[in-house]
Amino acid sequence: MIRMTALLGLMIPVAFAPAAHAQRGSDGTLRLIYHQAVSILNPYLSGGTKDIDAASLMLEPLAGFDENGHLVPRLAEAVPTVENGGVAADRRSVTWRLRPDLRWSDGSPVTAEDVVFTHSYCTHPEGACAQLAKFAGVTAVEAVDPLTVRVSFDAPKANPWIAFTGASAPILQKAQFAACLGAAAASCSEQNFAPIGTGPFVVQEFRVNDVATFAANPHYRDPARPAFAEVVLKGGGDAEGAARAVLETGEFDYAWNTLIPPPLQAELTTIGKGNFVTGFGGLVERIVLNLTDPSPDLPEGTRSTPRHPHPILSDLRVRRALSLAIDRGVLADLGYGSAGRPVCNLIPAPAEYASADTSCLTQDLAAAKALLDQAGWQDQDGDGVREKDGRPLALTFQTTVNPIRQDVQALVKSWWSEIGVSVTLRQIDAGVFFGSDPASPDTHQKFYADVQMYASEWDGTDPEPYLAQLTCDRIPGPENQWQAENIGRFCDPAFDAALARLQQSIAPDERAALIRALDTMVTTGQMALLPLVHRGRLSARANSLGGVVAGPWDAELSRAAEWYRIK
Amino acid sequence: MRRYIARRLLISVPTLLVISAVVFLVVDLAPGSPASQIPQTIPAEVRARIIEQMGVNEPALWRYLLWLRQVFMIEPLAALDATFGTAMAEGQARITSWQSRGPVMEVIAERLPQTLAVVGGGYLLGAVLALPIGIVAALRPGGLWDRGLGLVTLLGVSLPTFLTAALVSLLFAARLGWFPTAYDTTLRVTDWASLGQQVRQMALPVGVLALANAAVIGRYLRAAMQEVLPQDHVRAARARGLSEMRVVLVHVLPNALIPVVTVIALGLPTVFGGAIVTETIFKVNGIGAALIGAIRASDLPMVQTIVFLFAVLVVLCNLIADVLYAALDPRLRHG
Amino acid sequence: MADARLVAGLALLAGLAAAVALGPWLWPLDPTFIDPDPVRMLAARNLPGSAAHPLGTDQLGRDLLARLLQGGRISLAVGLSAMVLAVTLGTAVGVLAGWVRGLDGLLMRLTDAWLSLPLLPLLLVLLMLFRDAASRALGPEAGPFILIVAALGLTAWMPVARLARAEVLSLRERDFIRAAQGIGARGPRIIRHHLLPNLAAPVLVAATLCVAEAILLESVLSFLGQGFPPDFPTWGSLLHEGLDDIRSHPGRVLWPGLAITLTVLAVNLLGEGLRRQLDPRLRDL
Repeated sequence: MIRMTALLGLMIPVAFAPAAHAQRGSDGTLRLIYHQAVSILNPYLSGGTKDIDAASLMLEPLAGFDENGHLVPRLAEAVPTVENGGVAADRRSVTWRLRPDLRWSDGSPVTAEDVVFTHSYCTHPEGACAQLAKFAGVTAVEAVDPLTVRVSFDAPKANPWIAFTGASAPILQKAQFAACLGAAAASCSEQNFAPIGTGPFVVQEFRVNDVATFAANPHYRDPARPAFAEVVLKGGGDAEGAARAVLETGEFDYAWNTLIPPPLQAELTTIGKGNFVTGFGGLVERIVLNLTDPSPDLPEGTRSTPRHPHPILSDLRVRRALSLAIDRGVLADLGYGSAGRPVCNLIPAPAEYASADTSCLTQDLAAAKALLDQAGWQDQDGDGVREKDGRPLALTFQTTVNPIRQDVQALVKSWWSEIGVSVTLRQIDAGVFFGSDPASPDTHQKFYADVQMYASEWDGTDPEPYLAQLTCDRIPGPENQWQAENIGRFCDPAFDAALARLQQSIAPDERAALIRALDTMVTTGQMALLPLVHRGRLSARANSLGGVVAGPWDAELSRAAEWYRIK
Repeated sequence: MRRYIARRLLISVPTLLVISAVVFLVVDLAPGSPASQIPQTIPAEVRARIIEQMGVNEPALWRYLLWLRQVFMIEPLAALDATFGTAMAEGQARITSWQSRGPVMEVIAERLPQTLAVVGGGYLLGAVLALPIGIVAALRPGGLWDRGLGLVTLLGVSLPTFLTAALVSLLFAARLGWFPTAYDTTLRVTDWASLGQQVRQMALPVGVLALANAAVIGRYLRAAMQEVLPQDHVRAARARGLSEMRVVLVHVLPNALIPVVTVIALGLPTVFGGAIVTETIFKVNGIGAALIGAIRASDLPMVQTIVFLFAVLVVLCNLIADVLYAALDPRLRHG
Repeated sequence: MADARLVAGLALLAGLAAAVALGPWLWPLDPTFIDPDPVRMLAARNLPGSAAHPLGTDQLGRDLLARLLQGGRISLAVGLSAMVLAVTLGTAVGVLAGWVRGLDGLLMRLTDAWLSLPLLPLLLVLLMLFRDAASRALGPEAGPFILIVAALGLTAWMPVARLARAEVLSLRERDFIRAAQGIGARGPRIIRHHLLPNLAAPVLVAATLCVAEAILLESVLSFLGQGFPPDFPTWGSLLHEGLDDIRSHPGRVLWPGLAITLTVLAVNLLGEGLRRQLDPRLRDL
C-alpha cells in the first residue's frame, strides 16, 4: 500500500527552533487565512470552529487543552484537582482561583464576578447559547471572593472541569455584556463583533464574512508577548487557494483546514516554503448502517423507525461482509493523505480510550463473499446481484456533496458490487443533510436510505456524552421530531447497561476500560457503525512561523501568544 | 416626458411588490436550514433553541410581512440615520443575517464599494474599449480589420467569463506572480504606493470583465453603425466634403449610440449577475460573493434581501433605459 | 461573407454534434468505469495523455475523453431542449400578444415582469429548491435534466416573445393578411398558414441565440455547484471538477472549456450567418 505519510504531516513540535527573545510586537504582522470566513466573534452564539478560533485570539477560558488533551491553566492560577483541594472530595463542586492582577484589554481588572456573569449569560432561560452543554449539571456558580469561583453540580461529576474550559467557553466581561442577557444576546452586534478579552490581541476592525484585523493587547499579562504587533485574519476562497497562499506564494503565514487532495499535499510540501501540521482528535469518517427499514412503501411516520427492522441489514453476517469488503487504507490514502488514517474505532483518541483492535483494516473479499453465501444470499439469475426470497441485495448509499466523499462512494460501490451487492449512490447538499429540518426527507436523522456516510466528533476530551447518543431512547423518530442522535437506530440493552455503569464511574482506569468496551460493542461487535478514516486537522504553516504546536483538542489559535517569527 | 417617467415610476411600485413576494417565497421554500451551520457537537436541544430564537420557525407569511416592513420602512430610515446621524430607526429590529446575527444592510454597505469598483470599472472600461471596434466597423466596412474584429467579438461572446477568469488568474497571478491572488478589502488608498497596489489587485477582475463587455457592446455597436451608415444624412455629410473620420464621429456614432446606450443600460443587471462568478474566482469580497456564501449557509434573510436588491436594480435599469431611449431619440420624444 | 459564416457555423456544429453522438461507437470506453481492484485503480489515476487515454484519466482512473463525449451529449441535449421550450413558449406568447388585441397589454406586462427578475440568483435558488424533489420523482438522471431544461427554457423565452410580437404587429397590417381575412379566413388558420411561416426566419435566428445562452448558462450553474449532480459529466461540471486541479492538470479545464467555447461559437456563427442570409433588413436582436 502506498503511504504518503512518511514525509508529510508529522506533528513537528517547533520547540526545536530557538525561542527568540522577542519583545512584544517586534515581529510585525501575522497573516492568517481561513477559507471559511469568520461571521461572528462571540463563541457563545456560534459553534463554528472558525468563529471560535478567531475569538480565541481575544477571549480566554479558565483553562485550555494542550496537544495531548490535558488541561493547562490560562486565567486560572492552577488546574484544580482532588489532590490540591480544588475539586471537592465528593466531586460535587470545583473551586477555581484566578491569577492575580489580570486585566481586561480596556484596563479594568478581571474578577470572579465576570466568571459568574458568563455562566448566567449562557444559561439564561430566554437565551439560545450554543455552548449550553458545557454547563450541563451546574447548579450554581458563586464568587467566593474577588479572585475565587466555586462551581457546584447536581451530582458527583467524573469530569468537573467541563465548565469554562476550552476556547468554546471563555470568560466574558460583565461590564460589556451586561445588557446582552437572554433574547438580547443576538442583537448586541457591537459586543459580538468586538468583545473585550484578556487574550494577546484586541480586534481593530471586523468585516463580517470577510476579514478581521487585530492589534497586540497592551494589557496582556506577559509583557514580552505577543511577538506579533498585528494579526490579519482573512476569510474566503477555498482550501486549495489557502494552502497555496501559504506554501507556494508565501502571502500568508498560516492557513486553517487545508483539506486538499493528497497528491497536491505532496506537491506543495516539496516546494519547501512550509509544511502541514496535523492534529488527530475525535473526528471519524464513518459508514452508518440503517438497522430499520427506510422503504418508501411504508407509511410515513413508520419509515426508518424500529417498528420495521431492516430486511437486509438486520443480519450481522451481511453487515460484517460489507465491512470486510472495504479497504480502509486505500480510502485514507486516496481521500485524505496525511490528514487521514484508517481506523476501526469510533473513539480513536485520546490514546487511553482507543481500543487496539485493527482487525477491520484488512480487506478480504473472499471472506465477505463466503459470509453472504452463508447468510443465504445467492446470485441465482447470473446478473451479478445476489438475491434471497425474491429480494435483491440492493442498497442506497447517501452522503453529502463533497469531492472526497464522492470518490470514496465510488470506490465503496465498486467493492460492494464485486461481492454481489447492487448500490445506488445519492448526494445531498450539506445544508440539507445536516439541516435537522423535520420536514425534509433528506436529513441524516431521517435516514431514508440504507447506508450513509459522514463524519462527527464530540466536544472536549471526554467521550461519555457522545457514547450516550447511542442508547435505545435516543433513536430519532416522529415522537421527538427526528431531533435525536442515534442515527443508525442501534439498540442493545447490554450497551445501555454498560453506559449506565460508565456514567456512575469515577476512576480513570475503569472509565477508560468501559469506553473501550462500549466502542467495541458498536463497531467490531455489532458492526452497526463502520469507522473508515480517522481524520485529523490539516493546516498549512509557513517555515518562518515558529511556536506553532498543533493539537486537536482546543482552538488552533488559542496559543497564538506563543507564536513568533523565525529569523 | 415627465408624464411618461411618472407613469413608469408608478408601475414600478406594484412590479417591485410582486417581485418581492416571488423572491421571498421562492427563497423561503429552498431546502436546507441554517441548523446545518451549527456543528454536530452541539446537542439537538440546544440547536433547536438557537433556531427558534433566530426566528426560523415563524410562519412564512408573518416573516414576509415583517421583512416587507423592514425593507421598505426600517432599512431606509436606518440608512438615513447612518448618513445624517439621526436616530429614527433606533430600537427597531433590522433584517438580521442568520450567519452573523448582525444587520444584513451593514454587510451589503460594506461590500457594495468592492462590487461597484470592480463591476462598474469593468463595464465602463468595456464600453470605452468597444468604441474603437465600432469606429473601425464604420470607417472600413467589410475590410480586413472590420471582419477580424467581428470575429474576435464573436469569440469573446462565446467564451464563458468564468473560464477566462480562471485561466487569466492561473496565468498571471499564480504562474507569473504579476498580480496578487487574493483581494485585500482592507486596503486604504492613502498614497501612491497603496494606489498602485489597489490598481494591481483590481487589474485582473476588471480586465476580464472589460474584455467580455467590450465584446458584447462591440457587437451591438458594429451592427448599429452599419445600420446608420447608408442613411441619407450621412451621405449628405459626406457630400458636403467632410472628412471620413469627422463623418463617422459626428454623424454616425451619436445616432448609433442611441440603441447601444439602451442596450448598455439593459445589460447592467446581467453584469451584476456576472459579478457573482468573477468575485468567486478572484476572491473579491463583494455582493456576489456574499450571495453565494449566504445560499450555501441557508442564510435566508441575506439571500432574500440581496436578490430583492438585484431585482430593484433591474427595474431601475429598465426604467433608465426606456427614459434614455425616449430622451435621446428625438423621433420618440413626442410619444 | 454571410455564406462563409453560415457554412462555417453549420460545419463546426455538425462536426461537434457528430463527434458527440457517434462517440460511443468511435470511442467505446465506459466513462464511469472505475477499476474495483484498488492496486490497478491507483495505478490508473491521473495519467497523462497516451494512446489508450488520449486526454488522460481523472483522479479515479476514468477516461477523460469518454467523459468529455458523454458530457457533450448531455450539454447539447440541454441546449437544444431548452431552446425548443423557450422558442415554443415565446412564440406562443408573442403571437397571442400581437394578434389578440385584448391580450397584448397583459402579456407584455407579464413579459416585462419576467424580464425584471434577476436571472442568475433566482436560477441558483430554484435549482437548489427543486433538485432533490426532481431526482426523487423522475429518477436521478432524468430529474435534474428536466429541471435544468425547464429552468433555462422558462427564463429565456422573453426575447423571443418580444420579437414575435413585433413581427406579428407589423405583419398584421400587410396586404396579404388583409386579403386572407377578406376571404373569410379565421384567426387560427391565418396564424398557422400565414404568420408562422413568416416568423420562421427571425425566430430561427433567435433560437440559435437561445441555444448559445442555454449552454453557457448551464456551464455557469455547474461551475457554481448548482447544476447537475457530481457524477453526471456535463461540460460545465467537468470544468467545475477540473478547476480544483487546474495547476497540475490544466487539460481538465482546457478541454471542456474548449468544447463549450467551440460549440457556442459555432451556434453564434450560424446565427449571424442566418441573419444575414435570410433578411438583411432585420434589426439587431
